[in-house]
Amino acid sequence: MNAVDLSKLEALTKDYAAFQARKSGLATALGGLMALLLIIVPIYKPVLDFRPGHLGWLQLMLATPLIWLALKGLLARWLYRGFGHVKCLPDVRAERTRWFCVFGISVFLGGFLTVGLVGFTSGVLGLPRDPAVLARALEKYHWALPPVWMTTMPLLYLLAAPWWIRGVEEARAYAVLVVQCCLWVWQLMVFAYLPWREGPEHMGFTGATIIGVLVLALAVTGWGALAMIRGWKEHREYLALLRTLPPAGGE
Amino acid sequence: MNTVELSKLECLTKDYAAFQARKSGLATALGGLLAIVMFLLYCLLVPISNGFRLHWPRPVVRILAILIFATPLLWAALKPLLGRLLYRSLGEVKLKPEVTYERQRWYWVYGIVMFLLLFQTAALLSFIQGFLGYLSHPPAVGQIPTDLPSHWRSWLWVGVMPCAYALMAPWCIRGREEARAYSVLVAQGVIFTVAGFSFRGVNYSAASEAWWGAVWFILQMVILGWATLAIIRGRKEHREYLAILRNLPREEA
Amino acid sequence: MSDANPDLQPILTLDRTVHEPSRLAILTVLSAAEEVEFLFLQRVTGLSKGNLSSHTQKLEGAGYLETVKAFRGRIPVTSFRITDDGKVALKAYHKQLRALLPEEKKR
Repeated sequence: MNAVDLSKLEALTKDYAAFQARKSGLATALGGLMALLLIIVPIYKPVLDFRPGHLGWLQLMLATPLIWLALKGLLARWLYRGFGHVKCLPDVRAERTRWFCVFGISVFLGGFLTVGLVGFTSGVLGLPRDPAVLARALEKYHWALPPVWMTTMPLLYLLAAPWWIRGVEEARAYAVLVVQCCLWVWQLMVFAYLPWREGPEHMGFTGATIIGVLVLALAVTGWGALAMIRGWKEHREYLALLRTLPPAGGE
Repeated sequence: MNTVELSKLECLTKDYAAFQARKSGLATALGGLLAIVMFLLYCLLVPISNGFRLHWPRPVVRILAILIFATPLLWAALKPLLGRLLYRSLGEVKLKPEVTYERQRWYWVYGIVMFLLLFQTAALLSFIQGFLGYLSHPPAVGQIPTDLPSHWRSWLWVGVMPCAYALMAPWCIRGREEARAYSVLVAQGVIFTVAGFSFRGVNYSAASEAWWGAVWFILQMVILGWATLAIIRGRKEHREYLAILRNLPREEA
Repeated sequence: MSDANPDLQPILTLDRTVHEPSRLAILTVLSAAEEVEFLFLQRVTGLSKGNLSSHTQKLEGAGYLETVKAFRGRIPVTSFRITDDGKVALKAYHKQLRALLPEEKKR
């Protein structure tokens, strides 16, 4: 205790508390990894096969943001609470930033539902009103309607956000995962794109869609790699913090 | 300045700053008034009873509908103007930031956004449900509703309106009273949308129509009650501000 | 006290509850967070359990900190938080100490 530097002690406490208030270390890296997986898995597995009986992979994929939230909570408890819980001092700016991130995610989800709603109505209104033609359409494309659970996913994503998102890094990771999930089911939600006249083989991969997917894949890959580096760096910060602690059982 | 008590001075500064940070005085009263105006405008548009309905030309109906749905945004725009005109006579004083207050404010914003998202999800689900019903029991050619708008743009506002309400929320909600006022106005907009827009088809049974009518009536009574209270509270808050001004020490000669 | 050298008077009036190094460390840690668990406080100050308990009791007696007892599952968890009086005392102590330093060392 003799040589203890009070300002260092103060900084140490603040840094440790920050890991319990807003820093997430390896959880950010995990978020980056999951974002990459969301790009890679659909290439190898039939995630975008919307037919009944093929929805398992899609369901798993759409649950990714919620799975990440749960894993993040567990990781924080296992990794960053080695010396008990320390509550950070209240910080208005951090609180405001956190809520702005949640708000940003909610606006995106609202926009997504709006596009879904408008797309769906345009699809419905563009339908042939002749019952015979409708019956044929029903037989062929009934599976192509978004299931109820999928429609409620945006609501679930937003419901979980304020309780689980603590810092800007976490908000970014969550936002990337949520945006990816929404974009993957875009075609199913935006009913207007459904091929009422052309057939399911036209559903999706047009030139514009391919370019969009490529841009998204590149952006997500870049962010994912950065998140992994940043998360790992933050984790090492925590380890360094532990090393600066005085040895146990002193005076 | 000689006799002024320091604690009173502190109180006075805090009270004055509160009017610039979270209290809205007459803006709350205006919120209540607009809630009543929305109700009256809506009454002009819908049949009050089976035997009585006002018939308006189409452009008038459109203007009235736009007025109803734009009212929350109008209030959000008028509120800061009122605040600037009425509650800044002695310049700006910023209140000390408070985490609890900030969190409460955001809880309100989150609540409103959640409500709007729920509404959008319900709209989408109802469309799908209604559509599935339409597909599995196709109506005969003569039964197909003809009064449905034939273009998707007619429904664009159902999606866009909640987004506009949500986007305004963090900027127009500062205190609890304002949050309440904005929530009520937004809820009015959404309730009128639900009432005027049959998601699940047009054939309601008489029983369900009566049930929805009762719910609608109770909701409106609650909202009108709140609106009256808001007008009283807003006026009271405004008088509080006038009292602050009266309590200011006189300028030295 | 009255016999003391008047130049030493400011040193003698230092708050002794805060002046003790372990307690000063405890208050410094507590002032950097809202609530701190016993385990962290023990590790960060390097004090033994018994010592830490006795110092926190003294600080609590002086009204400088409060103890928060809770359960995590079935395990009892003790945390501490600095009181407003504690914050004031720590601030006053810093101010007093700074005033005692020669001008060139005040930076």
